[in-house]
Amino acid sequence: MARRRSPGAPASLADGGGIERLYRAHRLGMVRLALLLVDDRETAEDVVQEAYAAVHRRWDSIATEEAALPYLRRSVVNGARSVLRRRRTVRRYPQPDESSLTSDPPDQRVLLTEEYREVLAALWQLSTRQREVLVLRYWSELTESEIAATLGISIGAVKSMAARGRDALAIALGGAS
Amino acid sequence: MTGFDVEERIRSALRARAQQVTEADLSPAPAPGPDETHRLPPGPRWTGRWLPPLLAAAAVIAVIAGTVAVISVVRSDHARPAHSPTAPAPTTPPPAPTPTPTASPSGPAAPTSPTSAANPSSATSPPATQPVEPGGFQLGYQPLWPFATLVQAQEWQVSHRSGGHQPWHLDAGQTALSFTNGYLGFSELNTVTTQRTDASGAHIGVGYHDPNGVAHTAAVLHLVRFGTDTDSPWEVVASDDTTFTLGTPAYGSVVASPVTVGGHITGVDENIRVAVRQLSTSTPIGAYCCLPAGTGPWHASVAFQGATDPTLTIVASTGGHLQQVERFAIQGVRTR
Repeated sequence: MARRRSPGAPASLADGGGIERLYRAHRLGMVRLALLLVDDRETAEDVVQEAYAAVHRRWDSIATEEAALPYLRRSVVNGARSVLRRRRTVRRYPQPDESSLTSDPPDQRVLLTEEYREVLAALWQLSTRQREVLVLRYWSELTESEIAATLGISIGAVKSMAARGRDALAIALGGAS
Repeated sequence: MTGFDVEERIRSALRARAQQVTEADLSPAPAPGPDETHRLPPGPRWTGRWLPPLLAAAAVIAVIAGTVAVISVVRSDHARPAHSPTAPAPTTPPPAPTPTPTASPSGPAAPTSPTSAANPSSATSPPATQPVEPGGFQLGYQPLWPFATLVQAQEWQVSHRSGGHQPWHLDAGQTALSFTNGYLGFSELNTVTTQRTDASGAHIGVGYHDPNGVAHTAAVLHLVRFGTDTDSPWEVVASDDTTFTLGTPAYGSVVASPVTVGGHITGVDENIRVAVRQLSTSTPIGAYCCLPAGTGPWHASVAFQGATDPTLTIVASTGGHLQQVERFAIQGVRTR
C-alpha cells in the first residue's frame, strides 16, 4: 500500500528522490562550507561527496530532509576536520593562507582583495574549532544552538570560542576589540 | 574597531572566498545512489589508515576526560546548592548585590554589595577593562553578574571564609534567581525550575509557577565559577537560548550606541522589550519598547548612554499573558 504524506508533513528521505533533492539544493553550499574549512576546492568536493554518502548510508535512520541537512552539515565539518588533522600529521601542515595548498586557479586568488585575504589569513591563525565556529556563524549564518549541535559542543563553548576568535581577529587585523 | 566591524569583515571575506566556487566549477558527480556504498568505502578514505593512532589518541583523551569529570564532580559536590532541583528556591530571594533595580520597589530588600561588604573602598572602583585576570585565570566568558572582576570575587571569598558572609554566592540556583529578580528586576520570576551542572558550568532554569502550580521556565542561565577554588563564587555569564534567542550583537562583541539587537522567537505574540544594563548602574542605561513579536526573526535598535563598565548585559524579554515577563534572554557584550 502506498504511503501518503499528510500535507503538512516534512518531506521524507524515503519517499523517493529525497537524497537527490538534498544534493541539488545543498551541494554547492556544502562545497563552499567545506572550502572555507579546508581551503582547497577539490578536497572540499571530496569531503562533501563523502558527507552525502554518509547521509545515504544513514538513509533509514534519518527521517526527513529537515533532519538530513544538519546531519549533512555535521558530516562536512567532521570530514573537513579530518582532512586538516591528516594534513597536520602527515606533513606538518603549514597555514594555508599561502597559495601552496590550494588547487584554485591563481587568478581566483588574485580576485580576492587584499582586505579579504588579510581576514582569511587571520582566520587561519585561529584554532580549528574557533574557525569552525566563525565559519558556521558568519558564512552559514547558524544560530549558536545550531552551531553547538553541529560541532557537538555546548552553547557556552560556542559563545566563548566565537568571542575569542573575534577578539583574536580584531587584534590580528590591527584594531583593539 | 567595533565588534560590528569585525563581524562584517569576517562575513564579507568568507562570502567572497565561498563565492569563488560556482555551480559551474563543481565536478560533475551524481548524487549518492544505491551503488554509492560500493563506490565509496564505508567511511572517509583516510580513517582506515589513521584508525589505530586515532583510537590511541581517543583512549588518551578518554582518560583525561574521565579525570576532569571526576574532578568536576568532586567540585560540584562540594558546592552543591542547599536546595534540590525539585525544591523551589526560597520564596524570598537572597539579597542581590548592587545595583538594586529601582523599577521594582516592592521586590527584594535592598541588598548589599559583596564587594562593598568585603572592601568598601573598592565599591566605586572602576571595573577591570579586560576579563583576563591576574594569576593566569581567564574566565573565558563575559562576567555579567554579580562580580565584574576576579579581584571582586576573591574579596568576597575572603569575607566569606572569615565571616561566612553572603553564602548564596556558592549556590548557583540562588545566584541565578538573584540575578533575575534583583539585577534584571523580574521580580515575578522567583523559582528555580531546572538545574544542571556540566563541565561548562551550571545551567539554571529560572521561572514561575502558573495558577495551576505548573512551573514554567523563563530562561536558562549559564553560570561558571569565577576562579579556580572550590569556594569560588558563581558568576552569570550567559543564557542558553532556545525558543527565544538573542544572538545579535554576538556574544562578547564590542558595541556602541545605538546597537542593533535581534534574534529569533517562536510561539509568542506578545511584545518584546529590550534593556541594556551595566553592573555599576542601578537602572538600565538603555531601553526599547515595544516590538510586536511573532514567530521568526526579530530586530530592534536600542540606544544607550552612560556606558562606563567594560561589560554590558543586553536583556530581551517578553510576556503578558500570565506574567509580565514570561521569557527572556541575555547577551553579554563589551564596550571596549
